[in-house]
Amino acid sequence: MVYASGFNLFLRAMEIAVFFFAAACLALAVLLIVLRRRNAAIFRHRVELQQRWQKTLRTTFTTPLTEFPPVLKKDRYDVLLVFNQVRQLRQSDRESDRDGRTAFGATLNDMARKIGLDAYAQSLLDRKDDADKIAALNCLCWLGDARLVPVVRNLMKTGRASLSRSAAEALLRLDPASAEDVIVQVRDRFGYVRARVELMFREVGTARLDPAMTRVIAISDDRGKMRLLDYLGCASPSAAREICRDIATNSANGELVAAALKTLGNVAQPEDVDLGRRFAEDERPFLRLAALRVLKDTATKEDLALLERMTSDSSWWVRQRAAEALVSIDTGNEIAARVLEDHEDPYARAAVTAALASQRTAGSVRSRDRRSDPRARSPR
Amino acid sequence: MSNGLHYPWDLIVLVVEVCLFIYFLFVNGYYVFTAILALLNLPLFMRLHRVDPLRRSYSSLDTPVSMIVPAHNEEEVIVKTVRSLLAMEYPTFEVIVVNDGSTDQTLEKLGKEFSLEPYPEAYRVSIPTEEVREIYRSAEYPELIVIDKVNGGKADALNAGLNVARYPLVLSGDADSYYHSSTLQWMSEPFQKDGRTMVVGGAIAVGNNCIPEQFGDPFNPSLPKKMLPRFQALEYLRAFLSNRLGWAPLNALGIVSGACGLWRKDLLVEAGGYRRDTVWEDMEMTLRVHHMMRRKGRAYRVAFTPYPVCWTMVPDSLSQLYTQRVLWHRHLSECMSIHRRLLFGGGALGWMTLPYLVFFEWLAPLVVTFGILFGIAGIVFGFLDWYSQIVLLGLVLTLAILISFVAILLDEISFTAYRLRDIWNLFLAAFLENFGYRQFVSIASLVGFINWAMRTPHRGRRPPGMFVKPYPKS
Repeated sequence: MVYASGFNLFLRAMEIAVFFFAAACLALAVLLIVLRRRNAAIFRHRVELQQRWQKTLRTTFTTPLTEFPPVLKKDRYDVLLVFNQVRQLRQSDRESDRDGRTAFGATLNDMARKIGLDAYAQSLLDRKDDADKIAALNCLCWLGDARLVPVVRNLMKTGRASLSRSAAEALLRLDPASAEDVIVQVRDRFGYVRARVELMFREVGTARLDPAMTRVIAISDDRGKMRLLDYLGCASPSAAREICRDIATNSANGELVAAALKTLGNVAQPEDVDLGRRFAEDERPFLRLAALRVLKDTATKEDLALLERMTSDSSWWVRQRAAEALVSIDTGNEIAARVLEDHEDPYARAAVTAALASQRTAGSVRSRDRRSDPRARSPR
Repeated sequence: MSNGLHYPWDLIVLVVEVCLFIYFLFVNGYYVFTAILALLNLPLFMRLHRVDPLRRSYSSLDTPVSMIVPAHNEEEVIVKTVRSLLAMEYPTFEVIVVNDGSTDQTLEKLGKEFSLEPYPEAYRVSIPTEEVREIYRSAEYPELIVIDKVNGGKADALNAGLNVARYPLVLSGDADSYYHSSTLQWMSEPFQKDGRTMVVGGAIAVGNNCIPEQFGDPFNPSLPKKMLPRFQALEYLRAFLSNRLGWAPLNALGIVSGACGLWRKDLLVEAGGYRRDTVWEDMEMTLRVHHMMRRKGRAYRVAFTPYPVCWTMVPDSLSQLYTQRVLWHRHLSECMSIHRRLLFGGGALGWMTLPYLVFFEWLAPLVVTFGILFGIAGIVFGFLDWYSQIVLLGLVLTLAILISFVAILLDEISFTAYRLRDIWNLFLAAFLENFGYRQFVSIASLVGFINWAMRTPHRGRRPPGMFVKPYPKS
């Protein structure tokens, strides 16, 4: 009897639950249909808006306009995003034409102010949502209001990586003299997407980046140095080379030296060959491997014996890199042929065989590319 | 309610009913919990994606990736798949196709299409595999390498690919899947954002009715035309958007699909490569990574990206589906047995994912079969009344449909966004799958469980789409 009354209650609860969930299903289905229709309409509207504004922005570049299409209140966010995108893309595209880029940027900025994007972006900055703040920062940094610098500095220190990186980017645009502070941020925190940091540093230009990078690296610990070495490709080759040589010569940390040699490999000059030779004899395989990065472009005929010896290294990677370096030297192919013919170590022979095949494949691809390139066929 | 039974049988029946009901509540409570987590995470992710003015930028600083694609008798799809991989927008990558003892024209087609030439690779054996017959390299695309080896299964093929891979990140892929050109950019992002990231899983959608050439941005997929793949499309939505997106922020992802997982190569080598004695390899490897990192006390993350990066072909016949599900459940059983110590072993993985996998996935076929038999027996022998069973069925049905609708909602607010016509079809699938499809899958899973328990050797090859496992599948 007790069970029966309890079960009836339970059954009644289940009935209510069924009706509740059925109603929820129905409501969700209606919501989904409405949402789909709404999202499809929004998507179409956005595409239309984007096309119209991209056209306007492009026209502005050639013939400055005084009148702009009206920006409805509901469209402001989308127009702001189009502005950010066009502004960013033009900035990235026109690396070689700095004057053109500046002139176009100024015209775009005037237009943004005329249609009230600055005030709107300012209001977005006060919202709690990170995405809104990022959109606002992306816009305001182009418009160059120096009063924003303290706000942006604070945002850069926030714990959320996307917002912090956008703030760092904005700070560099608003106040390029803050490069050192931004480099410290990049050094000390995880979560910044490296491709974006690289773009950000390239935009600053080497004149500002070189001294800032040199100073920050000089005061950083090994871990910080290691992180910043990744971005030395954004600095000028001479500054990058100097920093790498300094670290490789003075640091006792093998991993840091290897990272410095790896970076040096991209900007190495013939006189850096001494560093390559020095570390090629090191007992640690990762240092020998890093040394080969330097030797690959700087090795001379004097290094052929060393490279040949390294093709018998205990590390697979060192053998491969040594073989690649060997065949890239003018007379290296003769040595490579000798290794292939009568070297006692089968691993050395395998490494050289692979390096020669790789060279052939790369060569055939290059020659095919040249044939398909019309400029290569036309007489010069 | 028990009918015509006397003490203690009426009490026993009541206890069984209550236990089954509590089980049902826990399963659905879990789904609701992960769906809420996903609903909380996804909108901010989408807004951040939208405001980014350079959504698809990349640089030389992006970590190079080796993509390994095992292929066994894939002559029909291999060329298209490799083309989709070669078209990746990424600074440095290589594509390693492992021809795992194909008996059809897979290797010949690759050779003809990509001008393969024998390449004297200095093959290094970090992980032992079946014999490698020859290594080829494309004369047109130097980033394409093809390994021809003796058949040893997908795990063995992946291990051979690992031996040849030269980059620090490795994407394990499938020959019967297509990849978005931005797959590597999107999937490598978590590695940059968090240095503790060991592996990233990507969202996978059903591509039975998709043309690879359409994979632009935005990509508008179409639902498969047949009902069976449609049910699976819905399953994938539930599994990837509702569940994995919920698990990932808690670092409790129990599986990274074999069709689309980006791994740190040193980690895979350190773990000894993929196991060859299990019928599948992806869940085992994911759990092994969790196990290994916990044992060594190293900080790590298993991340997930909700970008739709991969479209895979799913079985479109009952026999293929049956084989697939038998194998899935067998692999789940193997994993639960091998990694049993992870259960209640701390963290969200030990206290949430593993209990879920053990009680609501692994043991589910047993409970479901018992529940169905109990209900039928109760009605036939008259100890359960019709009405209570119909109410219970109504509850199961409405909750199942609701959870499917939430998954469609997540899809709507994320990237894939099926068309309105497809959404109607998904509604229909969400209703119809409860009448036959789910029961069929339960039976196949039960067979998988029994095969594992009886140690029945597995024969035959996996049907299309077999490499993808969108657990949980309920």
